[in-house]
Amino acid sequence: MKLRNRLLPFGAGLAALLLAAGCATGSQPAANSGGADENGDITFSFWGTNSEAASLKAIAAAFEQANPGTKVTTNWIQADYEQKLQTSIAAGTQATVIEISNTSLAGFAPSFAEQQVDPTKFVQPNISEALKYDGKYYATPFTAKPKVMAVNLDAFKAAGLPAPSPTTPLSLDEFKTIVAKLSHGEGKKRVYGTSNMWFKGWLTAAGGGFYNADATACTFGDQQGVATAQYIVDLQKQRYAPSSIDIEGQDQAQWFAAGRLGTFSDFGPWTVADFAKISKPNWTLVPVPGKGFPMEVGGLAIAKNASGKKLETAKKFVEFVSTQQVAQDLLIQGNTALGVPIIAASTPTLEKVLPPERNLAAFTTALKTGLISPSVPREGQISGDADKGITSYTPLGSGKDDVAKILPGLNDKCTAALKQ
Amino acid sequence: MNPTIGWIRQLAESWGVPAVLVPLVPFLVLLVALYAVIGLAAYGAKRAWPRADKTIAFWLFISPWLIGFLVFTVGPMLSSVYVSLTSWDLITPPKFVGVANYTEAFQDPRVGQAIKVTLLYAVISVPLQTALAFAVSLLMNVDLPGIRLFRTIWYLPSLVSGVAQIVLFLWVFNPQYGLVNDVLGKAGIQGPGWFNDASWALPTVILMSLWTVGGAMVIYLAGLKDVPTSLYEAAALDGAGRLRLFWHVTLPQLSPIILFNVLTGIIGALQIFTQGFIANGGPKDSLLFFVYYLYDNAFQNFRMGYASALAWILFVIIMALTAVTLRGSAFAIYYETEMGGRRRRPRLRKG
Repeated sequence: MKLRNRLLPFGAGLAALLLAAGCATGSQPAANSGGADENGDITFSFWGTNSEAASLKAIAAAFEQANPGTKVTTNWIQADYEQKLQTSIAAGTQATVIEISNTSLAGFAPSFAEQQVDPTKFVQPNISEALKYDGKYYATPFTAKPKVMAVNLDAFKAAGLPAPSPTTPLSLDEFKTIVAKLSHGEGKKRVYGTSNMWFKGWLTAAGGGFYNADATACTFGDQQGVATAQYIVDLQKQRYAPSSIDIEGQDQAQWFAAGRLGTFSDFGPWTVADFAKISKPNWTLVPVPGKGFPMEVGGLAIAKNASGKKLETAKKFVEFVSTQQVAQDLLIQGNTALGVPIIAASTPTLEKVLPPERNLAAFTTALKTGLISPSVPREGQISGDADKGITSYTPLGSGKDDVAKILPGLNDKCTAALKQ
Repeated sequence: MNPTIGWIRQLAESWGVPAVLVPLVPFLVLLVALYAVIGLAAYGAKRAWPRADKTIAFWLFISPWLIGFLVFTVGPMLSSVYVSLTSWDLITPPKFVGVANYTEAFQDPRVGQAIKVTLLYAVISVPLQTALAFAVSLLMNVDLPGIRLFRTIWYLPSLVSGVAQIVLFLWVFNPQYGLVNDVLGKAGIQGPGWFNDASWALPTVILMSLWTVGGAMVIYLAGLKDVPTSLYEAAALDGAGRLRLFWHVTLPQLSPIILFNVLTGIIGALQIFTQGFIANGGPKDSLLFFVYYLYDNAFQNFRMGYASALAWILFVIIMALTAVTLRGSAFAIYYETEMGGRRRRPRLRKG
């Protein structure tokens, strides 16, 4: 009894100590270590669909195989990637290597380690340039996501139009003439010359941009922006392109398969799988008209607080994914692609996914000429607010107001937010 | 990572615990440690106050909930008070800014819009839901063959989660291909844009909310079943007709239940989120509900400090409205025991 009386406070004290130690905040948040900071095991977080995740998991497995004794624990975040990334950074549990898009880089740069990137390893300098912030690299590119345009060759034939060039983009005026000729019919069976038109994309195609080159001002409401918006509104008004209300809840790839679209302009590498199933109508890929749509670049960042062996492994992993052909080839799984490989040796891999007449080589052309939008901190808020205004008030969304009256005002607000 | 947790994880790994269970081990170990401390405190308390064993047992039994409440509700609430006084994007350390977030909220026109939209929704939807649920419960209170099936059918939509519900209604109210506009079209009426039209978006959400009155209906139905038949009989003997029976017996008897449903309805309406989230705030901020705006600031704009300030403003609004409703309704609520009524099932003394 006496011994028990003595042991009890001791046991309680020990339990309390353990509890206090276990609940105390760590002095310095560390990258998610899985309990062993001193080993070289790393974690890798990424977003994406099933097939995109399969690509990245295969790449991680290939890295482990090439580096025996190294472990890469993958963390596939299926939804709300940036939100979960941000909260994991706040909690100090972020992965060692983090997938990040060039458009989101600026907001996350303070939590990433600076990297050394050799631009000559990639097919064009723009690709690595996209992952610079304040003149420094905070991520290494591993894939690019240029856009191309699918054309319904049967519809072109029926309208007596020649197929567009597989390598040279149409001008915006030529495109307008073509879609007018492709459009016909009424009601729910109406055939539109083109799919719904993405303002940001067509703005770049027309030579404008959402921001200016150094991201100090918004430019979507300048003369070029208003003219492009008017171009889209005109095509919608003449019913050559469906409005956002027309396509609500609709799958435009299915419309294309059903012959309801003459062209499909927002075609990314991930769209290949959907279109691979379409044998009728006959289709092929061509460059997006004008200067093309902005190209997204996928990068790999390393957590700022990674150190020691983890940092070494992380650098090795990033180098492997970005520059090794075995990894770059794995970006393509079956007939779907996470993105276009960015090293010259791997670019033909995507082109071979479908027969040559589908012209997947259009992606390689778009990769070499693709324009990249600058990355701004608080991109979600700034561009989100502008987008919301544009879609709420103008016919580019569900509104009815004149684009010439609305866009300049939204543009000024956007610039003011950018300068805050 | 906390070094102690890291150490426990390492220990678990070295003992061959399967990798998927390793994160659970520190939690379980700390839980055992916590209950060791609590158990010992209870043991000490029992020795000091031997007659308080029931009180000690009470606290021990409710301790899982109490700990969860303190750690996962009170803790984050207190922490959000501090966060609301900072500027914090989760990436860089929080910066103390005093009451700047609150000042900004009072000058932010979108906060005004969010309050307007949310209050409008509450003011219109809560009375409509209450009236409909009450009316349906009256209909469901009659004894007819198959009435239980009808009750089930009315209740079923309440089981559909918020996201599934709005996705379903986005289809029903689709301006081009939706069921509603299709039916209206057949009657020669050009249907509105519903969720795509700034002036129709909120009425559409209100209409949608009426689909799930089944939950409240079940509560009213239980209340109706509980009204003593002797009251109806006595009133009928005094010559009361159906309307008077409803007005002087049913309504007063159900008034505490109506108050409960109205109060929970108001709180729920002020916290509406999913509809605004899925509709992305609606055209021209027509569905900018307060909680959605709060979420938008926290997880889209990454302004945790501002979002926390908004959360506290909402807390005050809900508290104030609840208090006003409670005080304002006091005169109309009939509590049987207060009015000299007696308990329907008095406890009999043993022996």
